[in-house]
Amino acid sequence: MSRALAELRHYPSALAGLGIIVLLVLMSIYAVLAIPYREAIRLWRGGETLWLDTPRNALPIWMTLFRPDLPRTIVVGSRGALRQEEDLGGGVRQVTLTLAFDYPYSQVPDELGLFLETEAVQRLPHAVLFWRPPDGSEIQLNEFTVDPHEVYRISADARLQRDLGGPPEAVLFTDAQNPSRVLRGRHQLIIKAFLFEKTSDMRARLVVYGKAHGLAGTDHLRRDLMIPLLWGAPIAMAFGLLAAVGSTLSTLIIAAVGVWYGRWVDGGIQRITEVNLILPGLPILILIGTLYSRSIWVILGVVILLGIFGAGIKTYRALFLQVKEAPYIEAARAYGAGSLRAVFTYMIPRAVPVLIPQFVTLIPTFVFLEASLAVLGLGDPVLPTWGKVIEDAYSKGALFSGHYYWVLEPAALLMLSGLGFTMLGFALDRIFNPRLREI
Amino acid sequence: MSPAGADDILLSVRGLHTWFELRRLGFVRVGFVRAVDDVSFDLRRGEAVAVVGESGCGKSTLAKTILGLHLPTQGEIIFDGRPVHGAADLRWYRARVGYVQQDPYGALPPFMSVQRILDEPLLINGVVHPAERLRRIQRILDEVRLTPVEDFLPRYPHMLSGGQQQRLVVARAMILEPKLILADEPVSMLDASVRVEILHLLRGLQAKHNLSLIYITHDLSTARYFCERAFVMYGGKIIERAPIEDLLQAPRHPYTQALLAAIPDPDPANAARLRDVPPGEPPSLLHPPAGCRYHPRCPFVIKGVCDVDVPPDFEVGAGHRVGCWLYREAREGVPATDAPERAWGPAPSS
Amino acid sequence: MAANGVLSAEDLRLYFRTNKGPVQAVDGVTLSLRRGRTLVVVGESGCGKTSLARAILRLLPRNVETYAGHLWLNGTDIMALPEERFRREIRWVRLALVPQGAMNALNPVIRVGDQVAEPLLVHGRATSLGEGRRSADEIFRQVGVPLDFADRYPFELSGGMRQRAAIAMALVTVPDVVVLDEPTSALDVLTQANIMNVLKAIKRDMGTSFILITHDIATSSEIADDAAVMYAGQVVEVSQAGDFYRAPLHPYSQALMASVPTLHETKALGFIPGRPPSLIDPPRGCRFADRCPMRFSRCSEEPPLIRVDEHRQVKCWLHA
Repeated sequence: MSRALAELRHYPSALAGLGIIVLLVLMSIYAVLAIPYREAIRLWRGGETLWLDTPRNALPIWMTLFRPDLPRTIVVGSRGALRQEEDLGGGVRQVTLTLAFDYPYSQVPDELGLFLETEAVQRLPHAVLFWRPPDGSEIQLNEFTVDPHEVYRISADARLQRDLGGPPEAVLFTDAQNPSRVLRGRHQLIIKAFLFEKTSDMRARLVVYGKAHGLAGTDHLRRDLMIPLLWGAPIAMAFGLLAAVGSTLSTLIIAAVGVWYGRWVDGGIQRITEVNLILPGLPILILIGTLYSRSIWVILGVVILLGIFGAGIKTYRALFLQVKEAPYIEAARAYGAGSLRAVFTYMIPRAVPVLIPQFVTLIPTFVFLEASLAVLGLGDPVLPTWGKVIEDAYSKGALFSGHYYWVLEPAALLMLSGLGFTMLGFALDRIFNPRLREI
Repeated sequence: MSPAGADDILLSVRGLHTWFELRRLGFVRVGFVRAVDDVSFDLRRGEAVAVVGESGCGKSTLAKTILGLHLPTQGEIIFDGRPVHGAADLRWYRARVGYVQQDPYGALPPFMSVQRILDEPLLINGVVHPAERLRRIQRILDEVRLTPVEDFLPRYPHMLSGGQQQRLVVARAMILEPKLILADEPVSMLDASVRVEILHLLRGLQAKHNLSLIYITHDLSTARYFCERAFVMYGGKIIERAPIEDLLQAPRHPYTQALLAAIPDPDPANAARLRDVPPGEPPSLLHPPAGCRYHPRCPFVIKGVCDVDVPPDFEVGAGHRVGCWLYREAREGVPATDAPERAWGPAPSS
Repeated sequence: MAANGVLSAEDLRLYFRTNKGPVQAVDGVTLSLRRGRTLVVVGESGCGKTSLARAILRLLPRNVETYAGHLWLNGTDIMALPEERFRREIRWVRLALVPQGAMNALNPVIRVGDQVAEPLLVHGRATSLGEGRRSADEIFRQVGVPLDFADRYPFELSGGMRQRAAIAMALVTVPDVVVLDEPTSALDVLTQANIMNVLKAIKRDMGTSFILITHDIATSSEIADDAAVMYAGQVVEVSQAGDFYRAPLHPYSQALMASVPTLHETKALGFIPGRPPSLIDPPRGCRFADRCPMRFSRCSEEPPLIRVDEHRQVKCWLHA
């Protein structure tokens, strides 16, 4: 075995494949350590409130290498901002918050959002919002009663849009006379809040959403795509590995037992295999996913069950038929070896040279299977996987909207993992089966 | 024949038949391949016997039946006074018979080290203590001269030469301290210079441990090295049995004569003449000829006798018996003719 | 040396490239075959004799590192011929091979008669299969295969018959030289004797010259006119059959002869301790030295092939 691994040095493709696999393993380890499972699920399934501050469908940050003018998200909180309080008498106070920030980008932001926090009291405060662009003008945005957790999506305000004559994030940030010129410099949002109760106070957070966020961008629910991309690695590898191990081991044992006992046992196993080979795997998985459960454990179980009497049985059977005739098996029977020992200690190890390359090249098959199921909408409802990302992208029309990164990133990772295992598998095949070797 | 179980008889084979049923399409019975057809003999303790014959004569099947790898269709095998197939579990028997095979590399599992290969028979037969196993392994490796022992324990079969592999096979056969060794063509796949080593080893072990040995071969010249008696097999039957020197000096059965005439010694004079070889092929074991199995090829065939009845064994000398109708007078004590009349075929040129 | 006999080799070398280094399978072999005679090349496994057969027929695998030396057939330097000319004019036309295990190398899906006729069609000696079959039938008669066997498939024939068919395939183009690599090693004694009879008859009737490669010394004496012994890729002794089998000169040949059990006379058997050297990095000096009971100081230098008399050469300092 060890000399086989040493042989790998001579095959550049194997080293590349091994490198990719190591990368994936490191990714998986990082994912599990940096974002523990519970946390990952919480973030992934948590809903909008967890992702308030991230832009929707943002490009990955490294895109700024190609498009340097991509705006980043700017968050301005009231904590460090200018605050003026004025007592208007009769228990009414006016608090003026000035949220100011510098806008250095030459493109308008993606979106504008304001989050207000106030105490839950009988008489809720009233707020009036003004915008002051660098050129000094002042534009009233809106006024309303502030709920304890108020979310005011400036960009989604249809009335404001009508009043301004265009999307707020564009109009507020461009020159009125020259709409193609973006106003860079100091912008201010002024909140005039009228507090009617003694305990009332107001905290505000303005989010000027950029167009780039995170190493992988974000999706339609503002979630950072790094989570499913990172977590997709251990899930894909685990699924692929477990499915490959489960079906290969069982196939091996069944083939060996069939060959050893021959006659009816072998015949029976072969007939079951032939029937199983005719069964359409993917449609069955779709049926089960649709009618019963989409849990990844159920799918894994069905995949393994379908794989036990798979085509591998025929291959291993051919091999074992030869092995069974080997003189050393006869010798073992002569010194008293029983059937169990003959099968497990003497026959099955001979399959290892065939098993290992086949096993390695089988793993990506299962990884792709899981991804395919996810794309068809049958992926595990809870887990963040690469297939799920592709499914989201597909159903939200990513390619129509030009959000290529959303599709390309998980696809690239899928292809990379497939490539890694396959290259390693082919090289292992050449090592273990010297007849394939070109001298 | 001495009664089975008498002190000096180790193995007694009586009327052994091993027939394989041949079926077409899984259920259409075509017939029986009579690989071993009524074989009987006794083997004494410490005696080495050669079983000589060509491929298809049934000698390998005989070996495997004696080893318990095939179930006899009829007849019995009695080992050390005990019927072998009496009980269902043959473990007691298997531990007392060692098997040395023809192909040294094929006889060894390529994925097991030398130590592991020798451990297996011990483990299967109840020797559990690792220290005990190691001791026995070291001792046997020493006996077969695979020394220094420590060097060989971790090696794998492909790291050994052909001769060393065969020594390991012998070691494995000996490790359970058997009373009988069955060697099936143990040297035919080895180089000439290595054959002698192995034959020498077998002879030494046989003498030292007073082993009985059944040596199966198609090459009589190697059998001479350490076998006292020889059986010649043809068509599933033993057609001649004799002390080996007698067999070589005065072979009686026409087949034995042909066999001996066909084996060359390294002699330059061989190139000058054609050998007299009996025509035809060894008989089909599925549809053997009626009567004497050799009669279609025999130059001395007696029509009406040889093609009708299977000849019984006739005694032609001390411990020398032939299954040939030519010697039917010998039964009544009259010695058989030395130069029987040829029914057909060329006279041997010499 | 050039035009000596029907086939001569001088300093023939064939090295293979492997992961562990070059395997010097044939390392400077010089021998010659006289017309109508049979030369047997004896040696044990790993001595390079099968590679010698390949070298003579130029049937080289892909990992050849060195193929050099001289090879003359009827005076023509065939080593110098380009590949296509060699294929068309020499291989299987004037020089044929019965490879090791030939009886198992017959094409299982083609009738035996058609297979034997095939070389005639390939080399243009016959223009139709019918014509080819007629010539093949001639050869079948020579080798003793009944004509109705020609329409059978290989699996329907016994081992001996298949081997005769393989020999027929090599003879069908009536070559000058046939090289046979272990023609009888997988066969029974009686079948072996039969095949030897066939070869003797061919030799007598067709005048073909044979090179017979084998490890079985006893069988080789059945047909040998001349003998050459190979050890570790080199020829260590060449002599006529009478001299060789009765009194070999080289210590290895002597040891080999001593290890052959004989049926018709009693002798004590000897064996050679140790193993032949690896062909990957052969030792300096005489390659048999470390197993030789008669080695002395000069053996650390490689001896040349010393001519002892007109037909005998030995590669040993004892005969310098």
